[in-house]
Amino acid sequence: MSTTLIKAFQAVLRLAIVVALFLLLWACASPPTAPPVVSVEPFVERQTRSAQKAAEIGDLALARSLWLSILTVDSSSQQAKRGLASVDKAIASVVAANLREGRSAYADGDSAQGDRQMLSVLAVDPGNLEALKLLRQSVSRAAHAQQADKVRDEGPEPEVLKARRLEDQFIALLRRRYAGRDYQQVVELVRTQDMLHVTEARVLAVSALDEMAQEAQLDGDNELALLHLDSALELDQANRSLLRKSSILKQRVSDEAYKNGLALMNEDLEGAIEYFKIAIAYDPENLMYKKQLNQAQTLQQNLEKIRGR
Amino acid sequence: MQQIQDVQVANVRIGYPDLVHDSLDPRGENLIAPSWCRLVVCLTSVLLVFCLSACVGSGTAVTQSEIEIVAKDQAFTLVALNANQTAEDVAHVLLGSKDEVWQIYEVNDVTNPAPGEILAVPNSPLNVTGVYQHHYRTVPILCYHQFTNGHTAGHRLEVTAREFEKQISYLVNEGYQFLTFAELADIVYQRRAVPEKSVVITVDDGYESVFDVAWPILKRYRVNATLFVYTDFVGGGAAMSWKQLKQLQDSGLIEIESHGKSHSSLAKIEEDTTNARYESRLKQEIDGSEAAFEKRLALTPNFISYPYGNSSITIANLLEERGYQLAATVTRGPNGSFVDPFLLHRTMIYSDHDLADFTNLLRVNQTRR
Repeated sequence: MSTTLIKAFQAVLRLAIVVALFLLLWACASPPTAPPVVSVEPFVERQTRSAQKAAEIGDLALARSLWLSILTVDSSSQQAKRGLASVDKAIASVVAANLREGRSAYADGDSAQGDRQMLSVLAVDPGNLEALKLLRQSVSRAAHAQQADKVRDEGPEPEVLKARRLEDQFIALLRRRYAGRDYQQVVELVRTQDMLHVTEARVLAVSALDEMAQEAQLDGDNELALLHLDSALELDQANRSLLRKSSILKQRVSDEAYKNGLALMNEDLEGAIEYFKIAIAYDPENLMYKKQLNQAQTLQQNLEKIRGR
Repeated sequence: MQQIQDVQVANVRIGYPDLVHDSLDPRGENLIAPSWCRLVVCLTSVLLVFCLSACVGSGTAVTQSEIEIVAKDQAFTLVALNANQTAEDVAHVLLGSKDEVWQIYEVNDVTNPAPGEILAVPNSPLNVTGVYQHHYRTVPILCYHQFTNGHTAGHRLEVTAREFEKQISYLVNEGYQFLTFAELADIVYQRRAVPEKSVVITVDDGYESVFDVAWPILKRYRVNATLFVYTDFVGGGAAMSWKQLKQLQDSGLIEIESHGKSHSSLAKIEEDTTNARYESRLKQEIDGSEAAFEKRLALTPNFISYPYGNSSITIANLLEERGYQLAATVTRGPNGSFVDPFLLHRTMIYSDHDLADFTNLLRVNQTRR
C-alpha cells in the first residue's frame, strides 16, 4: 500500500516537473511579442504640435530640432520644411541683432551686457562659434581680474589655507619631537600652542603620554605612570586601550600598596594605614582593603589608649 | 512520450535520492533508469537551465540589434519602442548611458512612451553649450581636503566621514551624475552636452585620510572623484603613499592629477623678482610634478588644481602650451560650458557646512538675466 502511494506520488511529481519545465521553456522559446505596427503619423503630429508651441514661446532652437526630427522620417514634408525655414529666418535675425549689439557692448566696456547678448545668441543657435568665442573671452577676462584681486587681497595664501599650512608645519615639528622620544616636549607643545583642537596634534599628545606612562612603569613608578595615563584619558576619554591599561595599573598599584600595608602591620601601623589608604584610593570599592584599614586604625587607637594609660 | 517519462523518472531520482532509495521496488525493476537515460536527463537539464538563463538575461539589457530604427539621417535616429523597452534603454544603446535620457525627452514631448511610440534620438548633442531661453546649465565642482573618522572635525578643512557620507548619499539619491575631469573637459570643449544634474568631486593635496576615510565611501557608492596631489607631499607625514595612490588609480573610479610639486603658489609671489625667475619657478613646479607622476604612476597629468587656488595669465598660458586641458581655482562660481578652461570655479566644502548649506552650494542652473 505504502509502495503504491509512493509510486503514485513520484508519478505526480514527475509529471509536475515535466509540465513546469516545458511550460517555462515554451514561454521563453516563444517568439517575442510581435512588434506593434509602427505608424509615423502620431509622431509627426506630436512633433508638429511641439514645434509650433516652441516657436510661439520663442524657443527657436528647440523648434528647429523638432522640425528636423519630422524631416528625418518624412523628408518631403512641406509643413516641416516651411516650419524649419521660418524658424531659421527668425534665428538668423536674433543672432545677427544680438551679435551686433553684443560686439558693441563689449567695445563700450559693458561686458555684462555683451555676455547677455552672447547668451541670447547661444540660446537660439547653440553651436554659434563667434558667440561662444566672445563670451568665453569675456568670462575669461573677468575670471583673471577676479584672480588678480584675490591674490592681492589675500596675499599668496588664503587665510584658511594658511592656517592649514601652519598646522601642517606644527604637526611636522611634533612628529620630529615624537620620533626623537621627546614625549614631554610633544605634550607641552600641544598644550602651550593651544593645538588640542587639531586632531593629529591631539593624537600625538595622547600617544606621547602613553609612552611616558610606559617609561614610568619601567622605572618602577606606577603612580607616575597612572598620572600620565589619566592625562591621556583627559584628551581621549573613549580610548579603550588607555582605559584598559589604566584599570590594570590601578589594580596593580592598589595590590602592591595593600601588600606593603600588610607587611607593616606588626612593626609600623601608621605606615600600614597609609598604604591601605593608597590601596583604597586606587580601588575604592574593595571591601577587603577597607576592612584591613579599619582593623589597622582600631588597633592603632587601642595601642594609643594603652600608651595613654 | 515514453522517452520523456523515462527521462523524468531518472530526473526525479537524481533530485531525490533518499526518496528513490526508500521507494525501490523490491524487484528493483523499472525504477532504476539506464545510464544513457541519465545522460539524456543531464543534458536536457543543462539545456533547460541554459534556455531559462538566456530568457532571464534578455530582459536585463537591451542591445543594439533589439532597437527598432524607423528612420535615420544626419540629425536624428528615430526609434520605435518595442515591448518592455524604455527611453532609458534607448539612451543606453544610442547615447552611451541611461543618464543621457534627458536628451531624448528634450526633443520628445512624452512622459511614459508606450510600445510602438516613435522617439527622436539626437545623433549629436542638440544644445552642446547648455544655454537655454531662461537659464544655462552649470557643473558644480566641489573641493575637499581632509577627512576624519572622528565625531568632530579638527579644523575647517577636515570633513567627518559621517558628513561626507551624508553628502555623497544625497548626491546619489538626487540623481547627480558624478563626472570625472576628463568628462568635464569634454563639456568645456563642446564634445559633450552639459548634463541636467552633475557634479565633480575633487580632493586636494593627497592626505592619507582620503585613502582611509573618503575612499571607502566613494567605493561603496561607486562614484568618481578627482584627486589633485602635490608630489613632494606623497609618502611624507600625513600623506598617502605612491602605493596607495596607485591603488586608487587602478580602481577606475579615481583620477590622480596634479596639484604642483611643492604646493607653492603658481601666482607670482615675492621671491619671483623678475618674470624670468617666475617662469623658471613655474617650469620647475610643472616639470617636477610631471616627472614624479611619470615615474611613480606612469601617467601624464592633463589637469591641475592651483595650490591655494591662485593663478595668473602666465601660468594659464604655460599650462595650455604644455597640453593641460583644465585647471581649477578655489574661487566659488558657476561653471557653464563657456567657462575659461584654465580658471574653473570650485566650491570648498568646510566642516561647518551642514547638509542644508551643502545643497545650497549645488547650483546646476544659472538664471539668465
